[in-house]
Amino acid sequence: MGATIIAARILIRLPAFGLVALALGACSGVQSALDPAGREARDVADLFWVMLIGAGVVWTIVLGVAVYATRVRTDAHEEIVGKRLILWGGVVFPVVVLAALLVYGLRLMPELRQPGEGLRVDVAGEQFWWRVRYKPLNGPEVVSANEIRMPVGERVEFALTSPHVIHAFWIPTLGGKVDMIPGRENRLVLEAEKPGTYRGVCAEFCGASHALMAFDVVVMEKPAFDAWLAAQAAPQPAPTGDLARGRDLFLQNGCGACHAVAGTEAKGEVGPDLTRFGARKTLGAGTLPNTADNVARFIAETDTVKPRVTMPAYPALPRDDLTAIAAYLGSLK
Amino acid sequence: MIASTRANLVTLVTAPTVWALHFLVSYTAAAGYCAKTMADARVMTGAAWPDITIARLVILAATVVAVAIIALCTRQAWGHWRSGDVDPPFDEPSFEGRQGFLGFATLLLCGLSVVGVIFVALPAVFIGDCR
Repeated sequence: MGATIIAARILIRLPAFGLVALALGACSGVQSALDPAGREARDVADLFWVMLIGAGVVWTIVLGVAVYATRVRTDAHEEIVGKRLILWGGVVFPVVVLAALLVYGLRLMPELRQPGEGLRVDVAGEQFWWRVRYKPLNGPEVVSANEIRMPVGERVEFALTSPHVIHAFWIPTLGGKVDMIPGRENRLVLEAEKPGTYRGVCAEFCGASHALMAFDVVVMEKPAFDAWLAAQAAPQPAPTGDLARGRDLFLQNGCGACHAVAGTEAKGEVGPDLTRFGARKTLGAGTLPNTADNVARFIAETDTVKPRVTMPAYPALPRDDLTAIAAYLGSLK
Repeated sequence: MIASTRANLVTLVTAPTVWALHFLVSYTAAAGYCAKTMADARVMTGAAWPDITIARLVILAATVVAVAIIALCTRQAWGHWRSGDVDPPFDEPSFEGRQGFLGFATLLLCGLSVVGVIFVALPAVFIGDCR
């Protein structure tokens, strides 16, 4: 009997433990607003903690008063005491707390809307991937996709657009989310404070593969970032041997109609630019780790890996050809 | 503000109406001004953000006027509330009972409205451009 009750109690508590574990799990990691690595995210996280602790204090006071009134002193209080309680606890206190929070929030806003310091990155939300174009003050534009690199300690200006449906651009560790709306250019300035790799997501439901629309954010030291950006514009060596066969297959199968690889005949703009595909950590906009096996699988079973994606699947391609194309794409760094 | 020797439904809604009008003026001043200036300014190309001093002055003037009207409303409501020798909860079916109820309710609405007006005006204190 006793054992049954204990077992039942444990069973009842299991979901609670699970919820606590889930909640604590969200407190850190590459995609947590509570583990900030950027200025805006830090301000927002501070605001969250201030509000959470404040709400906890108010909740404790209200429950304390309720317990006092129902358990400790249950008889009627003097009328003047009741009136004072209503005036101070019901009117003055909420007005002061709300005014303080409003002033706190309003003081944050102009700080977070400082203009960028030079580098501008145009990001367009496609279905279901990210078109990225770096526009440095000095130097050529660089086209990329599904990965954003930025220097640490510099305010980078993002110009956010969308050609089809509404998406939202969100890098929780760096800042707040901003919608990408067809026909509009929304602006977001982010300042990373810690080098590292983070994860950004689409935060507005945009279709079947909305949950598979993510991107890596690589925050680099400023000199490393400048060197990286300059290297992007340099031409790549032509592939040889098996890699050359992969390139030929890539072109013969018409991949270049939708994808661009700088320095080849592939100049398509419908799909993600693949010029430096091999340097990206993930494939299919954060869907799979970028390995040769996954690339081959993505080409053969595109719609299984990523439902309703625009790219057609190529199940008829021989395994050898898939492997060669994957090897070629992996070599583009 | 509707000056009246007696409390009625019109004096009751004067302060919230002033609050609503103040919101309308503040919102249209800021939104209209920024929409016009931002249409021309190419902020992304490095130009400075349009300054909104004019919109802030309009909001300041609207706030002063709104707070003044609500202050007069409060004074009048205080008089209506105190005119009869009646205590809460003002539920007697008499003239004094109605005056006490309406006066006190107006007084509370005046308090709410003045807080509303100040909260609506606060962004103009802290935000100086169209960002």
